Amino acid sequence: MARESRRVKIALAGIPNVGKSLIFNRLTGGRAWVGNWPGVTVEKKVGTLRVNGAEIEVVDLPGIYSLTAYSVDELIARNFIVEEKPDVVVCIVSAINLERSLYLALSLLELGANVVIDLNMVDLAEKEGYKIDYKKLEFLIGVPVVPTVATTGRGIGKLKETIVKAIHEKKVQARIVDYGRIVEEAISKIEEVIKDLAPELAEKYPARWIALKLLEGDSDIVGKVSKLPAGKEIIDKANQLREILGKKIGDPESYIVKQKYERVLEIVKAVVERVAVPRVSMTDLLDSVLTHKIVGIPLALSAIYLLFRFAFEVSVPLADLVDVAINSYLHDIVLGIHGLPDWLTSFLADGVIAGVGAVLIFLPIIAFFFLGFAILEDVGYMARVAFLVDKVFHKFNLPGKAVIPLIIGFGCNVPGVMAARAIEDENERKTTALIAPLASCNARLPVYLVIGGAVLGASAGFAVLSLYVLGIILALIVGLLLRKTLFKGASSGFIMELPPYMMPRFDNVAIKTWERTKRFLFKAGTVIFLGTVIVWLLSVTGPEGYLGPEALEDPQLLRESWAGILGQLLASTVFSLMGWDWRAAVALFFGFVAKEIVVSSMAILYGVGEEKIVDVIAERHVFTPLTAYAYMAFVLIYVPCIATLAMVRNELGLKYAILALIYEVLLAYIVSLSIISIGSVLGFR
Amino acid sequence: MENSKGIFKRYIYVIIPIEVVLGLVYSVAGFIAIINWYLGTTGAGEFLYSDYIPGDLGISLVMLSIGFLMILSAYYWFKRKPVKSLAATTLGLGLAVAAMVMQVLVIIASWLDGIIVGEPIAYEELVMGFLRAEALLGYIALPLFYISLRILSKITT
Ligand SMILES: Nc1nc2c(ncn2[C@@H]2O[C@H](COP(=O)(O)OP(=O)(O)O)[C@@H](O)[C@H]2O)c(=O)[nH]1
Repeated sequence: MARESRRVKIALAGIPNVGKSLIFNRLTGGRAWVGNWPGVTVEKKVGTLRVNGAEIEVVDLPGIYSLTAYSVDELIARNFIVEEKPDVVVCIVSAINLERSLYLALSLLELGANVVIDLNMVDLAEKEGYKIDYKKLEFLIGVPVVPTVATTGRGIGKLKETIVKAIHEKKVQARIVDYGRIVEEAISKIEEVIKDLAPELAEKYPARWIALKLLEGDSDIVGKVSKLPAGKEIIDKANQLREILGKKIGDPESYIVKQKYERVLEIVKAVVERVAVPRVSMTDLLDSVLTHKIVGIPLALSAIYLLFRFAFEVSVPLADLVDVAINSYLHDIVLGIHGLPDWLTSFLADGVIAGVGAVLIFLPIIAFFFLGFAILEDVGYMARVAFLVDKVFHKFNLPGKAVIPLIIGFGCNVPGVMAARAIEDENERKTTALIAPLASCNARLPVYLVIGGAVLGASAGFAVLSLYVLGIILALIVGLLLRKTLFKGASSGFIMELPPYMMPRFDNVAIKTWERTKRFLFKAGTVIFLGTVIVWLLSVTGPEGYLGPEALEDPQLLRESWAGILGQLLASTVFSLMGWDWRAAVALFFGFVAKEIVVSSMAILYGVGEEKIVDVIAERHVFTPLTAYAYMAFVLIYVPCIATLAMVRNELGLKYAILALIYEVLLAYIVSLSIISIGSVLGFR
Repeated sequence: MENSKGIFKRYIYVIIPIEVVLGLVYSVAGFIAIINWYLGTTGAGEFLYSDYIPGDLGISLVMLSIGFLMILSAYYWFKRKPVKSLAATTLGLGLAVAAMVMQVLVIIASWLDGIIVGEPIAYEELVMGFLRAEALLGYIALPLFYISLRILSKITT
């Protein structure tokens, strides 16, 4: 291998919340290249560590608990280690969560990685009254261990030194766990078969590891091995051994996991020393109330309510600032430019600025929402919310963690779908990503407010609240259906960590808020921009050709436009039972692009500014209360916006994006029609 | 340990009685907020104590939760579970403070908004905002919260 031409590369691994981001920043000085792992949208961060004039590439692996094939993140991590062969893998281990951390560390060792252990959060362990004998740990697992405190930087210098040393002295401890005679014999047999029949495989992967994975029935490795010329033979042999083992020890996979865990417990017992009298921890004490199965629920709802208040009411001045800047200032500037052709002025003012502006006004709300959420998350409270709903969600075959994507989805569905990633079980993850778009995002709210405000009067508040609830109920029901059909499988137990409560850290919160808000901004900048351009174009042109910007002001002319024709067609066919005005129908069509556009395109279609749209809808009796409510429900359900669909495609593939599209349109139609028919039977109008 | 226990007891004698009263007031205010919300959605009549209590389901939930926690903490105290009692106290007071801070933030926000939009600012309305139930009660909760947090951090790790 041409070693010299390749940059020295190290990887950072660790369970979630061990302080990996902080360590990454400490090692690299915070400067990072951010991209995606190939083929998926899991974020990949790469930075540079400079020591003694040398430059070392630092790759941040996703936060993971083990190296199974059950989760995208874990697959990414292990494929990276096997394929890119980093010179050192720094496994960050939490001193206050040693068990889960060491389980991962042992998994990395088994994979044949050259591991350096960073024992982080030793300050918190000391606070809780125990000490970890890191020298002993070093001795027991045979690789270097460096204690650190990422928040203060304690031990980071030593960590850098150790990494550099480890680059030159490789240590491999693939046999770190002894699985007992029966399993070890099976492992050796498979190892031999592999070395005989597929030496190229044994070169790339540690043969012992492959053997273990074949015994476990790891889907990814079984798939990879069967593609080899000698694959079938190896798999057959492995299956044969699996069967024999199965009779003696039960399911080999659970057995192997159990053995490894026992080894972890042995190590933990040997290295942890109590130094102070144990007292109740603050975390346990607070959790006795916060995760109480009855008391916890109203508290969680209160927290979410305050979060909403923060997002919607405290952000008002910023939202208005954006509004003033765009809709008055910028709009006037454009109108004031002389010498532009009419169509261009109209395009800029009525299309681009009105459309994108309508979206940007949400930016402060979304940013505040994500800010509040990130604080609750960083404190450690969101994990408790997941824990609280776990029981209820299990009735729908969903894990409690699925609540997080739904709550984030209240802000914006795009990061909501992405947040489903944290769910380990594949079927549960896919289901959650598919139902997350049913959470009523901020973009739908203006539609409710405008139409509800215009038509429902005093009941508007209740109607809006009911839509949020409806969204969650539908999400759970659809989730259950998906889990019973497409994504069958036992639901996993609660395996999320309940991390100790901590003061939120400014940089953590800032980064999380920015990451999520960025996706919304990106959406505004691209998808929604395109969408508004299309709305404008379809409104000012028709079969007759260019109608001119007058079409936007003259309803008669607007009927002649493509948008008008399409809307009348929709209103007289599929939506004829709903009794919606053609302009409302066509606004729905544009809402495919982004739900924010429903209001702005209604404004365009009714030929008024957005501030007047409420009055127009009320005065012209566009809706009855019943048709209005059905319309609002339709807007809630009918499609995830294009950006959300793109995210579903990224996460799950095109097939599922199409599935999401189809099921939501159908569901929306059914629900709206039910509202109308049941409502009229009950005597509502 | 002895020492912290002593402090713990003395404070709890001060906090518990105030808290029971506060808890009851929060609960009543929470109920009135539900009634007002009902009156608001149905238009059935004038709000009760409209200056102090809005017709808002969310804030009523928050106030009822606070009231409940405070009363729960007294209950734990009488059940001789002082530590649990203190946990409920701290969380109840903490939520009370959070609700108050949020209300104050909202007031500041609407004041700033008035400046940005350039509309005359209704100062009277803003001042009344500081007198809303969750704000008023929150001012009382603030020092108590500080004290209970101090005790809590003394007796735990
Ligand atoms: N006290 C203490 N807190 C830490 C330490 N390392 C990380 N943290 C905190 O742990 C939380 C999680 O850290 P983060 O870097 O986001 O973890 P990641 O999820 O692994 O990237 C943050 O609130 C950090 O401030 C440490 O060594 N000591």
